[in-house]
Amino acid sequence: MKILIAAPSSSTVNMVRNVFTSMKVQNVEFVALDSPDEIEDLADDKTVVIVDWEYTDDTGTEFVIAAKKKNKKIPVLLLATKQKAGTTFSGMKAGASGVVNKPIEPDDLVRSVAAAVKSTTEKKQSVNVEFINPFIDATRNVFSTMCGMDVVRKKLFLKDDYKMLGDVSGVMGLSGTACGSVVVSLPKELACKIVTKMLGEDLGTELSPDVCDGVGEIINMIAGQAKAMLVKTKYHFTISIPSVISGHGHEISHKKGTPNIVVLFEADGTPFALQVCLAPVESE
Amino acid sequence: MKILIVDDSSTMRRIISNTLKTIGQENVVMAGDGVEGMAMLESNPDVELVLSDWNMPNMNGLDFLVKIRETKGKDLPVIMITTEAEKANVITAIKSGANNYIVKPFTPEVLQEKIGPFLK
Repeated sequence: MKILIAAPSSSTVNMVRNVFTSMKVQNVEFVALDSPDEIEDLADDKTVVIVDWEYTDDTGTEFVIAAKKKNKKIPVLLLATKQKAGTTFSGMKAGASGVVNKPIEPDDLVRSVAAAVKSTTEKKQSVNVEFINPFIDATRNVFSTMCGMDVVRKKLFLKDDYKMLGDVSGVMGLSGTACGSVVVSLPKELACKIVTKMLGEDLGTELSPDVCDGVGEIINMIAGQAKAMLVKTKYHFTISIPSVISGHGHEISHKKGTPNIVVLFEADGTPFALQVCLAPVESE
Repeated sequence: MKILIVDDSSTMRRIISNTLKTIGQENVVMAGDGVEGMAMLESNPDVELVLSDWNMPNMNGLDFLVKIRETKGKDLPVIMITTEAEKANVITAIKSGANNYIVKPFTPEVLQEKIGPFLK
């Protein structure tokens, strides 16, 4: 296995190497990348690219784009402090498949790299996404009606880990004919902006209880709208009371064994994520 | 006229209250669930219109509606404002005594239009 590491500081390469050495993982070649152009020559089938999310400009995103351009199957992981969790959307949009938190937990890094390699070699899981469009339509409608904002759908991908991409997430548990969860995860700035627009009152730029309550109402409306569109299908569900979780790099679990679909959107040029994990009860 | 807004989301209570202000309705009292809503009706017998959410903790909007009809009869108008958009839910609410039904998300215009006939 080859791990290509893009980082503004050479210490990151040593840090990653030391983690694998301490975990006694052998047959791993570590290569420091100086420029996105080098990926073209270095990458092969058993390559993982790790991008340290510490660049002060767009270099990190350029490394992700270069890796996916070389081979769209190459897994790319972002190495980010929890404080930077809300800024990793651009890397995910460019094609990264996951985030590993800094300071690095050895177990977490090795497991994430192994999962990334496995995802490129195993037969692709067949995922039925017929239920996702109602959630996408509901998201567009809620943002448009309540905030006067047009949202653009970007990327759609599967995500196994529990790390949320935003600084604040609204969660709705789904139960009934189908069960699972739907989450909207937003960077702090966008959360403040949309709740300010909903209320017509300036709520500032911090994650206040008012902003968090507004995020809960957003996921409540998205889930409610999608529920109505899925009536009389095997994906119909009931909703209850939303929860809101905030904090850099927070995690929300989803039902194991059920595909967890992430849809990236942009509102006013700022990315946010909708995460839907839903399966009919009878198929379990 | 005095209007009672019942919703567990403070954001939604303020959105509805702000919209009511734009049409000159500033005499508003609020509650966070059906239990608080019943208490508010006891302490504010001059409430002439109730706007209630459906999914709330402690006592949901449908139970709150039924309780109002049991204790106060049919004279007090109750409008449901909810994310429960399915036809079956609308029918259940109307059969239980709701005077109108507004689905979230809504525009201020829709809110004004549906509430309008009940304003004094």
